[in-house]
Amino acid sequence: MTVAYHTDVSPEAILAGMPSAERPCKIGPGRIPCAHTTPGELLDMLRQLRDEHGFTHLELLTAEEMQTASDDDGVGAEPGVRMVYGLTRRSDRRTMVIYVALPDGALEVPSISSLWRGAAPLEREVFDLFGVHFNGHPALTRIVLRDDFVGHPLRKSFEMPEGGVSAETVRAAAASHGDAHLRADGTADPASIPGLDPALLPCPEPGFETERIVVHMGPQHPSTHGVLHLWLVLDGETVVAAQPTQGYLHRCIEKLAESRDYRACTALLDRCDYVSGFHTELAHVLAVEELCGIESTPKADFLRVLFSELVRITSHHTWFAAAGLDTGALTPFLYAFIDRELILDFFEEVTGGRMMFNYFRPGGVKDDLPPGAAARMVEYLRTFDRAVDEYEALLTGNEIFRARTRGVAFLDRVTIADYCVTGPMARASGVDIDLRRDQPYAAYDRLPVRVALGEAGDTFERYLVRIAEMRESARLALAALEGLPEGPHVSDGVPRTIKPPKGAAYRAVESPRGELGVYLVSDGSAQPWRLKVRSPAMSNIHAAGPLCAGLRLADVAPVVGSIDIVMGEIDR
Amino acid sequence: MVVDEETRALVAPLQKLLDWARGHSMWPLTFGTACCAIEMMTVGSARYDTDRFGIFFRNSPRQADCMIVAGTINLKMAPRLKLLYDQMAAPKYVIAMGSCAVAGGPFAAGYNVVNGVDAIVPVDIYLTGCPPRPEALIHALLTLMERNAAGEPSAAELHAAEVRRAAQEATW
Repeated sequence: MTVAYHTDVSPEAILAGMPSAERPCKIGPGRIPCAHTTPGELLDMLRQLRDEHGFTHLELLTAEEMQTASDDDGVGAEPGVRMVYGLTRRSDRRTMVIYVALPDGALEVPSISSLWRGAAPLEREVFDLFGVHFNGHPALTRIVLRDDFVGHPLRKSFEMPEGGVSAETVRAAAASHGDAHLRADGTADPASIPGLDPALLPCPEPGFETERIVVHMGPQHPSTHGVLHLWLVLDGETVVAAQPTQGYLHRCIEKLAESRDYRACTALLDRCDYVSGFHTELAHVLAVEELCGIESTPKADFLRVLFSELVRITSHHTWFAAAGLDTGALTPFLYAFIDRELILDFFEEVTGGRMMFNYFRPGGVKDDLPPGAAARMVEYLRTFDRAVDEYEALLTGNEIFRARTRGVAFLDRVTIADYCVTGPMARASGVDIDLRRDQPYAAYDRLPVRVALGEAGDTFERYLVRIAEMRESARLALAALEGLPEGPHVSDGVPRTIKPPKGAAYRAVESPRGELGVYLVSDGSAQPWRLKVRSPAMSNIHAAGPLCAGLRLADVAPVVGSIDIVMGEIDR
Repeated sequence: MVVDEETRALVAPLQKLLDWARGHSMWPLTFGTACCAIEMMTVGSARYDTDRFGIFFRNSPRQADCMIVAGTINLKMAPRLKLLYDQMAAPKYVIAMGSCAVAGGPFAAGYNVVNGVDAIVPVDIYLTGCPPRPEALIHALLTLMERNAAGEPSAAELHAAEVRRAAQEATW
C-alpha cells in the first residue's frame, strides 16, 4: 500500500486544522509543534496523524508529572500526570508532540497498542512507574518492577526509602520471586503471561500426545546478553511464541536524575547504555544545550563525532563477539576484544575512563585531546579496515555461521513500523533511516555520512550491516580527526549552576542500537523535572516476539544477539 | 607435603592437597548483570587472559566454584541471585564486583536497588570501582586463590559457623 503524503503541510498547520487538537503551540526552545487533546479523542487523532499525514513513527511514549504551579503552556492547575506522545514523519523528519492531561483520580487513557503494537510495552512501563491505566490494553501488568512492589515511583508523591532500600526489604525480596506469572515452585503459569495468547497453549492436533511447554530463558543465561528474560512456548524444538520481559536491571536512573543537577545526570546516563556511554551522554547534553540556549564550539562538535563513532565501533565489537559466541565460535570474541582494548586505551587517555566517561559537558567537552593522541588515533584508524577484514574472514564466509543466520528471522517493514524499530535492525531491512544524516547533530552536517543499508532483513543481513557500519564509523572518525578545527574545546560563559528556563526539549542521536532520545523537562530549578530516555533497544527487543515465532529453540540466541540489546538502557 | 623417596609419590594430608588444588583453579560463574559484566568478559579476552591462572568461566552454577556478582542487583533480580548461589556446590565463594554489588554504587539511593549483595549471600571479596579495571578483577581472583591455598575458610563457612554458634548460645 502506497500513500502519498502531503509533506509540504507542516505539523503546525496540521494541528491547527484538527478540531480535536486543542491549544496548538510549541514547546521548548526547539519549537517542537505540540497540541493537547482529551483521552476520548486521542485514539482517533493519532490514527488520523498516522494514516493521513504520514506520522508513522511513534518516537516517544511516556508521561510526566503535571507542573501544578503555572505551566508555560498554560496546563495544569490540577495535580496529575500528563501523557506525552511523540510522533515523527519520516519523509521530512518533523516531530510533533501530543499531550493528554490526566488529573489525579482519573488516570485513564485509551491504549494505543491497536495502532502500534510496540506501544504496549511502553504503556506497561508508564503504568508501572506512574500508575496510569490504559483502557483496552492487551495485558496491563507491571513490566520493570516486581509485581508485589507498592506504589508508582516516578510520581512526585512517591516516598523514597530513607537511605535506599533496607537490608530487611532486600532479604524479604530475596525470599520470594514476586512474579505474578510464576507459581510458588518457580514454574510458569502460562495463562497469566502478559502478551502470550493462551489459545496457543493446547496442542492443536487431537490424538497427538505431545504437550506445549513454557520455558523461561533468562534472566541468567549466557546468551541473553544481560538479564533479559524471554518466555518461550515450545512445541518440541519449535518456538510457537516468544515474549520478552524485562526489569532485572531497573536502577531508578530516571528518578535519581530528578534529584541531581544537570551535569551530574551525565554520570548516571553513562551507566544507562554502558556499552556506548557517549551516545546517552550526547543526547542529554544536546537537550540541556537546547533548553538553555548554550552553543558548543566547532572543535567540541568534531570531538563529539569522533568519540561517538569510536564508541560505536567498540559497541559493535561487543556485538560481534556475541554474534560469534551465539553460533558456537569463540575466536571472534578474542579478535574483537583485541581491537576494542586498543580503542578503550584512547578513551582512557582522553577521558580517564574505559567505559564511564563523563566527558561531554553542556557547551563542549571536558578536556582537549592530549598531545600526540590525534596522531596516534589517525595511525590506528588508517589500519582499521584490515582488522575488519580479519573479522569477516572468520564469519562472513563461514559455512556454519551462514547456515545458522541466512534466511533466519526475517524482519519486514510492517513489523518495523508496528514496533517502532530503529537503527541497524531497520536498516538491514532496507528502511533508510539514520539520524546522523536525516537530522544532523554535533558536526555530522559537516562530515560525509554514508548510511550502511541492507535489504534482505534476515539475521545475516543485520550482521552485514553492522560490519559495514564499523568500517563507516572508522572512516567518519578519521574524517572528524582530519577536519578537527582549532579553537577552544568548551564555550565560555556556561553558568556554574545550570538552571534552564521552564520548558521541554527532546533530542535524539543515532546510537549503535537506533534512535536514542532524551526528553528533558525543566521546571526552572537546577534539577530536571523529568528526564526520560527513549530506549531504542526496548522497542527493538519487543519485536523479538514476531521474529522468534516459528524458529527452532537453538536459533533464539543468534536472533536475540542480532537485535543487539543492552539491558541497562532497556530497563534504566 | 613430602615426596616419598621410594615410590616418588607425593604424600600429604588430604586437606592440604585439596587446598593446593583450590588455590590453582577457580571456575567462576558468568553472572553478569550490568556494566561490570563487560569488564568481566574482558578479563577472558586476549589482553588479560585469565585462562593462564586456571580461571575458566562456567555457564552453569553447578560447575562453578565462585560467583562474581558483576553489576547492580535489584529487588527483582535478588531472588534469582539467591537461587543461583544455592545451586552452587560447596565450597563456594562470592566476589562482589563493583560499587553496586558492594554497596549500591551510584544507585544506592534508589527505590529498587540492593545496597550490597552481602544482605543476600556471604561475600568473600569486595572489589570496588565503577567498574573495576580488569586488572583489579584478576587481583581479586588471585587473592581468593591465595587464601584457598593457605587453607583459609570461605565467607560461607564463617557464616555457617556464626549461625551454629548463635544457635548454640540460644540453647544455653
